[in-house]
Amino acid sequence: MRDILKVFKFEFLTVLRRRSFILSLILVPLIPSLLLGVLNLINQDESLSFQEIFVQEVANPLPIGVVDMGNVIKEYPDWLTQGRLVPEVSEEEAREKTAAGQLQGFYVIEPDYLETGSMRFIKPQISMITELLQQDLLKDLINYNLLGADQERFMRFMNPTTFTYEYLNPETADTRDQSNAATYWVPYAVTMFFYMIILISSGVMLNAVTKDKENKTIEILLSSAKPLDLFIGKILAFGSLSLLQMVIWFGTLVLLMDVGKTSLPFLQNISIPINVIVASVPFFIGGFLLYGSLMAGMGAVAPNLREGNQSTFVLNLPLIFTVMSINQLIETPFSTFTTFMTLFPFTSPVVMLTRLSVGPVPAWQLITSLALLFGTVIIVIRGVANLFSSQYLLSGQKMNIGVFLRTVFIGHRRA
Amino acid sequence: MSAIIVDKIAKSFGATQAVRDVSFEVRPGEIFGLLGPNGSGKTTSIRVILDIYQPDSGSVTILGGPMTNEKLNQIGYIPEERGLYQDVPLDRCLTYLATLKGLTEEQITERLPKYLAKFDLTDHAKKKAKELSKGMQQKGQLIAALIHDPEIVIIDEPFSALDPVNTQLVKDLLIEQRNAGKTIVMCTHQMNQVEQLCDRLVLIDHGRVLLQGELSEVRDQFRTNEVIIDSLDPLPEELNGVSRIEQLNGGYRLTPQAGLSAHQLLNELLAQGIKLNSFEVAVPTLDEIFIQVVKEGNGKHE
Repeated sequence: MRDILKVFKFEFLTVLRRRSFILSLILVPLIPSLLLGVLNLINQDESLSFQEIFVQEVANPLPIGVVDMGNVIKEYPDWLTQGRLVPEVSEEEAREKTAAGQLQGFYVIEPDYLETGSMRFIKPQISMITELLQQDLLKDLINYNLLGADQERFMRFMNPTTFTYEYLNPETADTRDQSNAATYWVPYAVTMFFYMIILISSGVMLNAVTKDKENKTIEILLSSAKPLDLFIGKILAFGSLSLLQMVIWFGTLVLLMDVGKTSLPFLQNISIPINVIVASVPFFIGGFLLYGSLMAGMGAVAPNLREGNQSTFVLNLPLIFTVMSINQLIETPFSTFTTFMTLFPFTSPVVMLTRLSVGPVPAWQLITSLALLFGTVIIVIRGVANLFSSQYLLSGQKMNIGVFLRTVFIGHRRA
Repeated sequence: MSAIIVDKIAKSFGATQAVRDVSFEVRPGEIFGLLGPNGSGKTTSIRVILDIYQPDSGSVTILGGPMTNEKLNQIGYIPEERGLYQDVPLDRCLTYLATLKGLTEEQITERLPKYLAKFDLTDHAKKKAKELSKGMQQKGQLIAALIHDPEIVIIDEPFSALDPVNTQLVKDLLIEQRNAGKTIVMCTHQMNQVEQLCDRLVLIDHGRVLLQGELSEVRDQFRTNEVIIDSLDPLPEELNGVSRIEQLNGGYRLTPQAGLSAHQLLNELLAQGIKLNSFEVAVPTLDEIFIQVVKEGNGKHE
């Protein structure tokens, strides 16, 4: 164990001094921060919103006439029409006013309207976008009058239900506000973020081990340090670097979502729950140690990076499956399937954070999930330590993935 | 006290027996040649000596006892498959390798500039290894093997991929280390280098020792009574006292008849009026001995 610190220091500082690492550390949070800054600057300008511009520039300010031959409309309340729909006594008069430019056009409600719902719209030019907006107003006016010109009744007709939810068991119930976009947006973002960062950071371990082989430094290192010291030194170094990267990136994401509320209206109701932020550290560390160790083991037995990469797909399958199941995980957070994925050590580093961003997770699941995750980490590190023997590190032969997994989880094949 | 004693070591990988019953001794302050064809078990033997591999049986004694971490720091090793971190500046790479050999930051700060200057690498210390020529990288590897002032230096194929200038530099360095009392073990195929540098040698093939001893003893062991002459005139087809005449480039190799010494053969030639420019006893080269021993070994093995 005498050389762990030396290996850690060299690997940590080598990557930390690398321009590409520093750039990725800074640029990934910087770019969205700059975009948000630009949006803020734009919003400080007191210009009109898109909708305001649309109404002002596209919609014609002239009113539309209504010739009510079906005797449907008794009232034209200003709070509803705002003067945009006006009554006309006859089709001829309305036609003249339209030709004279006093009306945009006019609706004719036919005498058999109540039986057939038929009406006509007479206008010099038809603009479909404008028509849809105008027709909605006419429909509201007709509904208001069909309901007896009663404002209260009309308002209830427009918004007939206001639910409040009560749960038999609030601890396990899905208490999410289904109408809020954040209910789905935040878990998606959290899942994808931790999927990507665990995948990327553990992949670096494969590179770190095969690099010693490709640079032909491995035998020189083995004549000075024990293989296990090399493994532990490397995983601690790259784990620390990945944690640093995760904290900066995720911290920036949380910060931007908070700061961005003023300039991006869709962020108003969106925030990453505090328990996701707290749990992200242990679950990320567990996820990195689990997948990073497996990748390091693959690096130990693979003759080079290319050969090693060919086998990583199988090792990453649980993570890939997590992303493929993302809809089910978010929509049914209390199902048996989701609970299993929350507890299963190869999916829990991502799924637990998905769950926590959906809503509260029972304490027993949190404790069990962490215990299973770190228990598996210990088993995998011990198994991978067997692969970190001189025989494998100096061998040029690729190991079959089945033999690899057996060696990690069951067998001891130290040279 | 011997520098290294290898006692009946055996090592196999699956069904492949890489080394079997190999024994030899390396004395302090000598250059020792570990010879053998490709796949003979040389590298495996070295890895067992360095504790990189655990032997299946047998033992290795280093500087009077079993290998320890401290003793590992008294060995400098340059493997056949060697390199430097390609994306790391040379001085940082050498500093890392030196710390793994137990040197402190202060010791490295004091020694590294001297070694860089000695190998003419001072101006290249901040360059990444991939920006250096192959010869410069080889020199960097030599610094990594020597900077901790080891008692024993083990070099696998020390002259591979070196140009004549750098070959001479390495030879001078090995002699300098020996003169400083260091023990050197070198594995090589280049028998002319072994003849020039080694005090003693061991030849292994198929994981077994075929031959070992001092260089002069080995030569004597394979010496014949053949002579090589350079005559002013062409030789006749038959000569008294000679059983076989072989024409060489610029001379002849003569095999005396049984019981005839080289001295007696010289007298016979002079008596027959042969005019000689030179006359020398034919000493077998190490190349010839190597080929002969390996062929004989293969015959026995088959």
